[in-house]
Amino acid sequence: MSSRLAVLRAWGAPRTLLTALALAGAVQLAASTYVGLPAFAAEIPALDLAAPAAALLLASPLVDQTPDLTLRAVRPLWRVLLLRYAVVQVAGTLVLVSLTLTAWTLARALVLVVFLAGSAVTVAAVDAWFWVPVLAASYAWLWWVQQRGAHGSDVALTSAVAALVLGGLVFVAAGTWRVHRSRCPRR
Amino acid sequence: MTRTFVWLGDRRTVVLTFAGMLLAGLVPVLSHGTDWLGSWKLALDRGTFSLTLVGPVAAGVACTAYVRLTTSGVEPLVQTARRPWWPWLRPALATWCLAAAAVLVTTLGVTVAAQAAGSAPFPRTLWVLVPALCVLAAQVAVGVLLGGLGRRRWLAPVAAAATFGLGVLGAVGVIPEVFRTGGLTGSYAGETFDVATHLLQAGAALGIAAGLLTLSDRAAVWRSLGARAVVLVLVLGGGACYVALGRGTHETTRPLADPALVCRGQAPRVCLARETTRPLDDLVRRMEQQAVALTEIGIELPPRWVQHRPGAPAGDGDGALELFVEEELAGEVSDETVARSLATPADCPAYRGDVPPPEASFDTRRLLARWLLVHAGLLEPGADDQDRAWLASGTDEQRPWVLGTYDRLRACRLDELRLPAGV
Repeated sequence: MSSRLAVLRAWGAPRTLLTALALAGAVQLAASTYVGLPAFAAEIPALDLAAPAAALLLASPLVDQTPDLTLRAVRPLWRVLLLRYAVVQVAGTLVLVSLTLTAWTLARALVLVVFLAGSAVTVAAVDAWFWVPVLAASYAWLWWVQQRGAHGSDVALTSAVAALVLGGLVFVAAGTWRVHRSRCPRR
Repeated sequence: MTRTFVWLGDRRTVVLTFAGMLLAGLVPVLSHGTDWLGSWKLALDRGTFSLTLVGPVAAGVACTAYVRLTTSGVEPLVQTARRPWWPWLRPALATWCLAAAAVLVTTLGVTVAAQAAGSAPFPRTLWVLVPALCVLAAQVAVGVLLGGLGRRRWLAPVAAAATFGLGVLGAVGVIPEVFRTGGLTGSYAGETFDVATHLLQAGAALGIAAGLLTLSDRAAVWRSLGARAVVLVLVLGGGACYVALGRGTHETTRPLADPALVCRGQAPRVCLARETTRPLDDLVRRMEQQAVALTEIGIELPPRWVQHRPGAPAGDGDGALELFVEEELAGEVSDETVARSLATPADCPAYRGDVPPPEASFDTRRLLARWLLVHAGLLEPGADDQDRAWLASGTDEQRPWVLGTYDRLRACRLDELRLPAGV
């Protein structure tokens, strides 16, 4: 049990869950607040910032903090990577539940799942620098939502599930391939 | 160069970081499209607006560099240096230089593009980049503080999110708008950047930067007397600026006392603010086309039509050009806007007063504008339009009403305006 806890701590799972709880609390506090961002023609709901914030702050377990240990892992690597992805999505669920407790519908809150899946894909591409494209994409998304309006940003359940699965697949495949390349470098 | 950027990574990483900053900065710059092509000052504004994302990225990069520095084991060596603040602050300076280069390249790109598109340049307003780079220093310092004290790689996105969050807190009024640069939703026609507000912003930003950098490693920065004096001056001065910025209203722009105009055409003569002359040729062409209907029935046109500029009093006898912001910045204007302007032969005080002008003045100007469009062959009244019969009647029938209405509009006798019988 203690070794499992140590692994979870090494991944940053407790920290991520605490951050998710804080974010969920912030969602309740800012539920009816509107934010007027510079250059935006209209104010946007503060809740629109929740998904980008989650994608930036909850995705750290996806980045391998102990690459040397990973190389020596005895368990199947895909399972380790999948568990890390699950930790992130579970933490995201806390924020998602908090969002659905506000005036947001489930369809609107599901964008959070897409954002976390996007973070996983970005980690697969650029590893620890995932936050740079996520930050840029977040701003573009905020702009897009402002243009489209509230209902334009709804996400169908099937799309959210597809993003969840695809994000996980890309993350696990890229992580496995990267470790395989480290273990067996090309000659 | 290699020594300066050593904590940011190898040459390839530095180049990729710069490219990342540049691309991130382009997202807010291009979020409005390329409307800034119509105003050089707006392009400059958008260049500084790139800090909205370049700043957070720089904070994350600085955080990563300081995590690398503090976990590499060289920190005790830093403390033994004759001027320990220099090796400690060098990664921060390197990050700032890289981000500043990204902002400057972006600004250069958009201003050159705006000039190439026909916007008049205002190089004297380039000073606005200085306060923007001071804000960048404060943003980098946020990353230095988190990386220097936190010493965890996962703090990089936290630093980026926190820096972006500071901008949001400024936008909602929780803190003064120290971290906002650019992002005006206007065209800068007849306006310029306000020196006092930007000075206060620069002072506050430098104070925040000095304070955060000192807190990141007091032993290194707070050691020598000279460094202490500089930090104290910056922090105290910055504190005063911060407090002043938080009190009252501080606009980032102010109206020009004597805004320059560029005029073209003869009948009618059309004048736009020098900042936004992009649609002038198209405007003159369309106004000439529609004004024929007025001159044909013997109406004497105002000597010129002038674009409204904030704070500038309306010229005696000038017609009013009421363009939408997007039209001020675009290369073309709509026929409806032109008709609306021709139907406003005087910039009456009642149009901008606290008490709205009589309802009939809106209806008559609207009908006059539709009459101009119909006569120019640009509008076909719909079957259900109440004014269809009158618009279809002959010029002889319409002439008395048009002449009388135009006279009253020029003299601002808005209470005397009436719609023709049957409309």
